Amino acid sequence: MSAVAQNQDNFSQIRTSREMGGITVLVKNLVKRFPGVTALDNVKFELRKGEIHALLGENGAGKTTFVKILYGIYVPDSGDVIVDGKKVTFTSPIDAIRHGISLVSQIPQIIGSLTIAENIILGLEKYGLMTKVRKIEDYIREESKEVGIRVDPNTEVWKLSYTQKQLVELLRAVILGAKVLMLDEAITFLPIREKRKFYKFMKKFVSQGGSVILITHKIPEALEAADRITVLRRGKYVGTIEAKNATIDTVRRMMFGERSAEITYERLPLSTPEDKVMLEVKDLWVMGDYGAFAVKGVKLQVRAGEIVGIAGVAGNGQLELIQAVMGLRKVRKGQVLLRTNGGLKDVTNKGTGVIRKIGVGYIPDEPLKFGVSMENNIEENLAMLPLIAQGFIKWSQMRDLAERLIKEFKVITPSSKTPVKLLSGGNLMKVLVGRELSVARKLLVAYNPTRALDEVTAIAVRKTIKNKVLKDRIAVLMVSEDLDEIFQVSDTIAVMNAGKIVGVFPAEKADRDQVEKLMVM
Amino acid sequence: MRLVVTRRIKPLRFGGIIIPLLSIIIGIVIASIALLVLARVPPTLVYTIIAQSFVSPQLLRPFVLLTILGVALIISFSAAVWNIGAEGQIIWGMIAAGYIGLFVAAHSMYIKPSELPTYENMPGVMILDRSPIHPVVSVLNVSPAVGGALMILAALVFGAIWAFIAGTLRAVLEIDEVASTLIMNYIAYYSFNYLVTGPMRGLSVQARNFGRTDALHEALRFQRLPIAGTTVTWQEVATMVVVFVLAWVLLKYTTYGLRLRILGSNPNALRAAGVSVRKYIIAALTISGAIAGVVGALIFAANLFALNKIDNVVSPPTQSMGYTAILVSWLAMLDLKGIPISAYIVAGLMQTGNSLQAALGSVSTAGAMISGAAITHVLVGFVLLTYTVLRVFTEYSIKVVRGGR
Amino acid sequence: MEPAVLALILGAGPAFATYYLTALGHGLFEKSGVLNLAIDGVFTLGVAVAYAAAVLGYNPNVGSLVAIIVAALFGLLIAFLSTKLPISHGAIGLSIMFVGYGMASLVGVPIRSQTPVMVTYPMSASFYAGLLVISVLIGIAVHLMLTKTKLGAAIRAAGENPHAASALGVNVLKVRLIAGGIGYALIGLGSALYVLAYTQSWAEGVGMGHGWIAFAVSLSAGRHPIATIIAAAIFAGLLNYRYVLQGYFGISPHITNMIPYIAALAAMVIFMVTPLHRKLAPPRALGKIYFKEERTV
Repeated sequence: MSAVAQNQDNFSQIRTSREMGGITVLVKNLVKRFPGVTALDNVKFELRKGEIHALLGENGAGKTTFVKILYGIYVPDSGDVIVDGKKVTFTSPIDAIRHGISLVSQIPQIIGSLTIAENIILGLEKYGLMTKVRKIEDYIREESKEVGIRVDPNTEVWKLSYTQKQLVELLRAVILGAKVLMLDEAITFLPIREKRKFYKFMKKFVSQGGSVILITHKIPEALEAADRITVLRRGKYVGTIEAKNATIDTVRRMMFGERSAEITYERLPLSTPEDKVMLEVKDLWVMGDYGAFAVKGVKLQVRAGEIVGIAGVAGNGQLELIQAVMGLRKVRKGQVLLRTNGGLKDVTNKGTGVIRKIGVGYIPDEPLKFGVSMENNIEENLAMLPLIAQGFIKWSQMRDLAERLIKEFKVITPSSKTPVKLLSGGNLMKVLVGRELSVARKLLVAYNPTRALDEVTAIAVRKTIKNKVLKDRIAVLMVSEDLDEIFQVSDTIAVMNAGKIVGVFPAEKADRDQVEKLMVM
Repeated sequence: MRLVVTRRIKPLRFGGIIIPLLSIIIGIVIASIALLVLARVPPTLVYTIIAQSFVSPQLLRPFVLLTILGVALIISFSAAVWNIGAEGQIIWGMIAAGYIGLFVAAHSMYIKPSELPTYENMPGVMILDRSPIHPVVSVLNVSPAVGGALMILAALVFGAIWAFIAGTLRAVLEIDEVASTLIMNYIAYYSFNYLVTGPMRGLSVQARNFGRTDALHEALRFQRLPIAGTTVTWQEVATMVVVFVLAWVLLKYTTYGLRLRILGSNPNALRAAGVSVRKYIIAALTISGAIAGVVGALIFAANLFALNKIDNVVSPPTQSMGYTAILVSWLAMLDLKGIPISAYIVAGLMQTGNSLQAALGSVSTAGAMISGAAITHVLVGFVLLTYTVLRVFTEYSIKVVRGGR
Repeated sequence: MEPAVLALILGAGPAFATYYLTALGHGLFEKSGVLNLAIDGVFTLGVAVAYAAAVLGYNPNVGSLVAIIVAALFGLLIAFLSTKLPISHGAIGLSIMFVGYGMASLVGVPIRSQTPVMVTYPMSASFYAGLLVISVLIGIAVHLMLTKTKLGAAIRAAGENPHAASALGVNVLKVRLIAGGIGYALIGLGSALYVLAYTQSWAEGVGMGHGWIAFAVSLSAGRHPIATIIAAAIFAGLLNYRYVLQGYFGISPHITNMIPYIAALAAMVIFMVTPLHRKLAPPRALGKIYFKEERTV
C-alpha cells in the first residue's frame, strides 16, 4: 500500500473510534486589532474533546493571531474565551499552560543555549525558582519514549535537528499537561516521514481525550488529518464543516471567496534559458550559526533568462546559501562567480557592495529586518541603495522613482514620503520587491519573495518576476518554502537537503512526488 | 492590575513639545526635592536661581558650545553609535590646540631680568611673568589668523583620532562604544594631567607651582563679541554656524547622512544593500569626535587661555559639557532643528548649577561645598531620566488595566 | 605558602572584593538581558551612601547595609523600566549615571563638610582574608544558581530571548527584577567596600570611573562568575600595587592612574579578539527593547 494511502487508512480508523465528547474550548465574538489592521473580527470557534480541528486560511487570515490569543500571548480587545465551561482571560502563556493549552509553532520556541530539561522546567509551575533542574531529568526521559524521541535531557537545544526540536516542543506540551494542543504550521514543513511521527502522536493524544487545533494553509493536509475544518478569511469567520463532507474546491472557495478565479496553481509560461551563465556556485561550503556547516559543497548554475527555484524543507541550508551568494555570510570553501561585462568574476567573500554593484537585486528572508528601514519613508528606502543614489541626493528623482513604483505595484500608501512602518505587510513587500526588481539588471536573488502576501498579490509578483526574466533575460535564483510556488514559477527546480543539492530538474520534467521524496531522504 | 503598553497608530499630538517641556519641569522639581532633603537647599532658592540663569547673558557661551556639541552627538547618535566620549575628545582638542598655541604659533622663553625693558614694548611679544628672578615672555611666531586656524585644525584632527580609535574597536571588534569611550575619557583626563604638568608645563612661576601650562599669547586669543555680560567670541559663534549648516546638508541631502540615520534604525538593511556598516560606524564616531575636538580648541583659545591640571574628575575643564551634550541631543529628539532650544535649556541648567554653587557658598546650608558640577549632574540627570520615561508616551499609550490572572 | 606571597594576596583583599563583587552583580544583571550602563553612577552613589551611613551609624556595617539597599532599589527600578516600557536601556542607564554622580555629592558633601571621624573596616589580615573568602563563596553561589537551578535557567532565558522565555512560562519581569535586585545589591556591597575597606577616605568624586573598571572586568570574563574571579584578581593587583610601580620605576602618578583604564580597554580587546568571546558569548537579547505585539511580515 502506498504511503499516502496507509496514512489515510490510519486516520479513517481515528474517525470512527474516537469519542466525540463535550466542548473543551468555546470562542465567541473575538476581536483583536493592531495599529492599522483588524486581525480578528468577531471570530467564533468551537473545539470538541477528542477531535482534530483544522483552522485554515490564507496568509493574513488571522489564524496565528487566534491561537496566540488562546495561548495568552495577545490579549483580545473584546470577546469571550471559554475553557471547560468557564470564561477565562489569559494574560500570559503561563495562564494558558495552567488551563492545559499548549502551542507549538513553526519556529521552535525553545531557547537554543539552554538544555532540554531547562527549557521544560521553565513551564512547570509546581517547581519553585530554586529547584534544581536535575530533578526532572528522569521524568523527561520517561515521557520522551511516549512522544517518540530519544535525546539526553542535558543536551543544549541548539545541537538538535529541526525535527528533534519540534518533537521536544511536543514533549514539552505533554509534560506541561496539555489537553489542547495547538499546532501552528508546526508540521507543514516537515518531510513526510517526519510528519508521520506527528500524526501518530496526534492520534494517540486525541484517543486519550485531548484535542488538537491544527493550523495549516494546505488544504489536502487538513482534509487528511482533521475531523472538522474551520475557515477564516481576512480576520472573519467563514464557516465550519466536517472534513468528510469537504472537497478541496469547497474549502478553497471558503478560503478565498469570490477571488478564487484569479488563483491558479498552474505553471507560468516557461522561459528558455540562454547559454550565458550569470551566477555560478562552485563547491560551496558555508558555516551555520551554531558551528556546523550548513552548506556542504553546493554546485549550482543560473543562466540568463532562467528562474532556478530551490525547493527544500526550511533549515537545510537554503538561507545560508543565499546569504553566502549575497556576501552576507562567509564562504569557507568554494567560489561564487557572477557575470560582469568582462566575463565571470570571482566575488567570493568580496562583500555585498561589490556583488550589488554588478547589478544584483535581493529579496531577503525577513524583509522587515534585512530589506527596509522601518523608520524611514519610501523615498529614503530607495535612496539607501548605492545602486540608486550616491553622494548628493536629488530628492525629486527619488520621488519620481517612488511614484513609478507605487503605480506599477499598486502600493496602497498615502504618499511616497510615508514612513514605511505605517504600511501594511503586503504593501511593504510590494515596495521591496519593486525596488529590487528595478536594480536587478543581471540577477535577482530571492528568499520567500511572496511570503506575507495574499494570493492575488503573490501571483502578481510572481508574474512580474517571470516577465522580467522572459523580456529582460535576467537570471533569478529563488528559494521558497512553498512548493506550489516553486512549481509555478521555476524553469529549473533544484532540491536542497542537509546542505547539499540532491536533485536538479528542468521544470517540465520535474515530478512532484520525486521532489518531495528528495526533500526528505 | 497590570500595565498595558500599546503602540499608538499616530504619534502623540504635539508630543514633540509637551514631552520635553514636561520632562524639564518634572526633572527640575525632583532635583530640587533631592537638594532639599539631602543638602537642605531651600527650593525657593533653586527656583530663583533657575529663573535668573535662564535669562542671564552668561548663557551665551555654554549655549554656543552646547549647540556645537549637540550637533556632533546627533551625527553619532542618529547612527545609534553612542559617543559618550565627547569629554575625552574635547580634552584632546584642548591639548592639541594648547600645543599649537603655546609651542608652535607662539612660544614662551626665559629672558634675563635685564632684558625686561627691551621686551616691554616689542611687537608680537607678551610678558607672561615679571618676576625678578626668571621673567618669561611669549613670542608670536605666526599671524593670529593662521594661529587660530591651526589651533582649530589640530584640535579637529586629535578629536577625530581619539574617536576613531573607539570607532574602530566597535566596528572591527564589536566592543561596546559606550564602555570604550567612557573609559577613554578617563585615559584622556589623566593624559591631560600628565602632559600639562610634564612636557607642556609652563615656564612662569605660577605654571611651575600650580601644575599648568603658560598662558596663551594675547594675539592668539579669540576675540570677544561686544555683548555685555558674556565672554563669547566671534570665532565660537562662527564655528557654531558653520558646523550647523554642514551637518544639515550632510544629514538631509547626502547619501552619507541618510545611511548614518538608517544605520541607527536598521543596520541589517544597510548590509543587505551593500553598504559597509563598519565604515559608517567609524565615520559616525570620527566626525563626531572631530567636532568635539574643535570645541576643545574653542574652550582653550576663547576662555581658559591656560590648561590647568584636573584636580578632581568631578569638575574637569570641559565643565562636563561632553556629558551634558547628551541631554541636548536627546531632548532635541535627535533632530537638528531642536538643538538650539535644547542647548538653551541645558545651558540654563548648567548656569543654574554654577550659580547655585556660588549662592550656597554664602548661605550656611549643609551642602555649602557641593560643586556646581554635581548640581548640574543632578538637574541634568533627573531631566534626562524623566524625559527617557515620558518619551515613551509619544509613541505608545500606557493604560492601567483591571483584572489579572 | 611563602609569607610574602600571602601578604601580597591578602593586601589586595579589599580591592579584589570591591571589583569582584561589583563585576559579579553587574554580570548577573546583564545575563537577564538588561544593558547596565548605570553601573558607575550607582557605584559612585553607593560609595557616598556607605560613607555617610557609616559615619552616621558609627559602624561600617551600617554603611554597607544602607549602600546595599539603596543600590538594590536602583536595580529594581532599572529592571522595571527596561522590561515594562519600550525604552532604550542605554538611555535609562546613562540618565541614572548622571543622577548617581550628582546625588553622590549631595549625600556625601554635607557629611564631609563637618569633617567627621572616618568610620571604616579594620585593616587586618584576618578581615582581608575574610573578604577574599566570602567574595569567592558568593561568586560560587551565584554560579551554582545560574547553572543548576530553575531561576538560573529563567534568568538566562530572559537574556537570550525574552519573548521565547515568556512563551515558555517565564515571568520575564519578575526574573529581571530578581536579577536586578540581587545584582545591584552586590554592586552596592562592592561600592561600600571600596570606600570602607579600600580607599578608607571620601571626597567628592571618589569612586567615579571605578564602576566602569568593574564593567570591563565583567565583560572580559564573559560575565562568567568564576572567570570573573581571575579578571578581578588581575585588576585588583594592578590597582593595588600601582603605587609600587610609581615608587619603584619612578613613573608619574598621572600615568599610573591611567593604567587600570588602559588595562580595562586591553582586557575588552583581548576578550573580543580571542575565541573567548564565542565561548562566553553575551546574552543574545542584551540591550534589546522587550516589547510584545511586534509586527511580523
